[in-house]
Amino acid sequence: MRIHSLRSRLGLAFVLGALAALPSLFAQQSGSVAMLKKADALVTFPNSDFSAEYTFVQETPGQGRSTKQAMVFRRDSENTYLIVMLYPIEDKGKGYLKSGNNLWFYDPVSRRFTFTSAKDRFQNMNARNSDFTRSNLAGDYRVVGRSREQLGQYDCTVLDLEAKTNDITFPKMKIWISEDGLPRKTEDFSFSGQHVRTSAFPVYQKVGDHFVPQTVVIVDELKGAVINGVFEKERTIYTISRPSLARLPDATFTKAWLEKLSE
Amino acid sequence: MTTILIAYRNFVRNGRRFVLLGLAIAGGFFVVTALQSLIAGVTSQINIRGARFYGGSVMILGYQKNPGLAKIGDEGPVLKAIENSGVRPEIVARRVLYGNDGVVFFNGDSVRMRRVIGMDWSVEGPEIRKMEFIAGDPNGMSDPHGILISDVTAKRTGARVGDQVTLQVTRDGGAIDTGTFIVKAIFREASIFGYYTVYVDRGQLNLLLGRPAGEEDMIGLYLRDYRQADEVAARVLTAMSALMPVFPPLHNQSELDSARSAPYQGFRYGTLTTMGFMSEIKTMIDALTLVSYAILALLFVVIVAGIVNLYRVIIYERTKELGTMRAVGMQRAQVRNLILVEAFFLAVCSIAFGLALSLGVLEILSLFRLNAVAGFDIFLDRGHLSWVMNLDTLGFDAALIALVTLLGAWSPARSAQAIEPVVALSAE
Repeated sequence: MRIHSLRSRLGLAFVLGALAALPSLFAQQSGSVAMLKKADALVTFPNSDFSAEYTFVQETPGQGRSTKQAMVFRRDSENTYLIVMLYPIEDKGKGYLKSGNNLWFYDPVSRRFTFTSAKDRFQNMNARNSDFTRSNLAGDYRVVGRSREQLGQYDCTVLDLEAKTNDITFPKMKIWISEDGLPRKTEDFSFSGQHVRTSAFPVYQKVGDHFVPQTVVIVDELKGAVINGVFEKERTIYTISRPSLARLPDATFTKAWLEKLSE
Repeated sequence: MTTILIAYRNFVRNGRRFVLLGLAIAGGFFVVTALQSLIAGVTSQINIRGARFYGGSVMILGYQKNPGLAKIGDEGPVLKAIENSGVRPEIVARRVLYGNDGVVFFNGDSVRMRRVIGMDWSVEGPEIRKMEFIAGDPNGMSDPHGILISDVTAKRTGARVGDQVTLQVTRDGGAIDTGTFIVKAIFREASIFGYYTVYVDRGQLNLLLGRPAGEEDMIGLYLRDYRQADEVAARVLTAMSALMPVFPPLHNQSELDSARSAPYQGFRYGTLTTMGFMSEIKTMIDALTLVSYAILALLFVVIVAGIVNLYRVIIYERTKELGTMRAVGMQRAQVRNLILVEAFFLAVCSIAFGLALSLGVLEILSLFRLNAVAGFDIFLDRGHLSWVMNLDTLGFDAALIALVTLLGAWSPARSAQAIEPVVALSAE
């Protein structure tokens, strides 16, 4: 009888404790979502177009470096982008056109457009085609964990995210957001929880009221080679230069324009 | 019987007369037999290995229009249709086939797979075990976390038996998923069937793809004799048509693609043979078979012309001998039969010699390892030339040659039976 009474009291205390914690949990959850929304807003351009020159350096351990250049044109309000390769010469004129959920790859040699996937590697590097689209962290993911962590000079909030739908390339993600609201690092995981890649955004440049990373480092957690007894991971570093928010002609985001560029 | 004995004696005593023509017939038979045996060997290799790659000699394919997935759905009616068709396959295999998006990672290296095959080892093990394994024990695949990789994948990633590799796939929705598997064995296979193929447990692959563990993309039928594939495919399709909506009979990949792109609702089912998936190779084999029959036809012309000329000479030379035989009581029909039996002996001996030559040459050729020859591996069995001598084809060719030889000897034999003993004996 005494034991039963003790159990009842403990149970009641647990329920009351949980109820008391709920507002705090809700507040934390909504605070986390707000952080994601802020991060999205800072790096997305809903009211203007965006264009910039991207320089990619691919570092493959044991095989050296290779460099590629591309012009990226984004219209986030329409969820579209166009990328045209500038360098190396053999890739010049190749391009990508994203329109809604469709993504085409254009090859100027065959003069043909082929469907490609957002989750595919961009130009066989560690960046993915989906990395060039507008940020929609708050829409794509729900927050399942939150902690604090010092990341170099940045005091960050670390959010554990899980995709809301099953069409997100990386179904699990960990994101470090600094106090200024900008994402500083992400770790992408497969559905079963395998760490697949890490991205770092150490420095941003201000463009209008928004921010664009100056340099992005993407480390492939699964690819690399043992060099002098140490496992070195494959990585892609890309720098974004000459960012502009100038209005682009509507024709920019068309197949015809991509074809014309490669002529 | 006397005629046969006399013919035999004549054939043996005058053997030198027949040597040249006999060698020509034997040579022709050798070429035809060797070529057809090689074609049969190649066909057999492609069918057997194709069956392992595609999951049977006959594939039962199901497609769901929206969202455009290869999927059997409810397997009950399909299994019922197989039973109703009266077909008794050796193995009924359920498979999940994942296209060209799978990547195997090991120690920082990666290889993109052309095909990730999810199969049930307990069912397909006896067939898959027949592949050429260069390391490990394929029976380890009874462990659902096992994986079979090709020697090319092993070489490119450095993975060995016992290593843990990561397989990356994209789930049906689009999310990336990864699974870890232990390399149980390393196989060596021809380029189109194996370089970039891995075999894993069907349940595990379904799990990675976000599908129910028991789901399958196709049901494959392994047959005792792959040559029955077309007939079996037709019978199963007929049986299925009574139970479910089916595509029209499919003979190749392009017909399948057209059928899939046609408007329909829900599920549609169809059957296709291994060779249907490899129509280019089938065309090549058909062309080679035609060439072998062209050689056979040419051989017939040589035989007929040779026999006619040879026997005209022989009969001219043996006029006195034949006249004497007639004079001592041999009937006209017996003289004709004598010539025909001699020609038959010529055909039999030439065929036997040609056959022995074929067997010897093919056996010697198959001793050499030829897999270093680029692009040739598809025709080889474990690196060696493969040949199959089908008794029905062999018997048909031999019977045709014997018949043509007799046909060629018919006219000279008729001339021989017309010889008058008095005229023959008085001839110089």
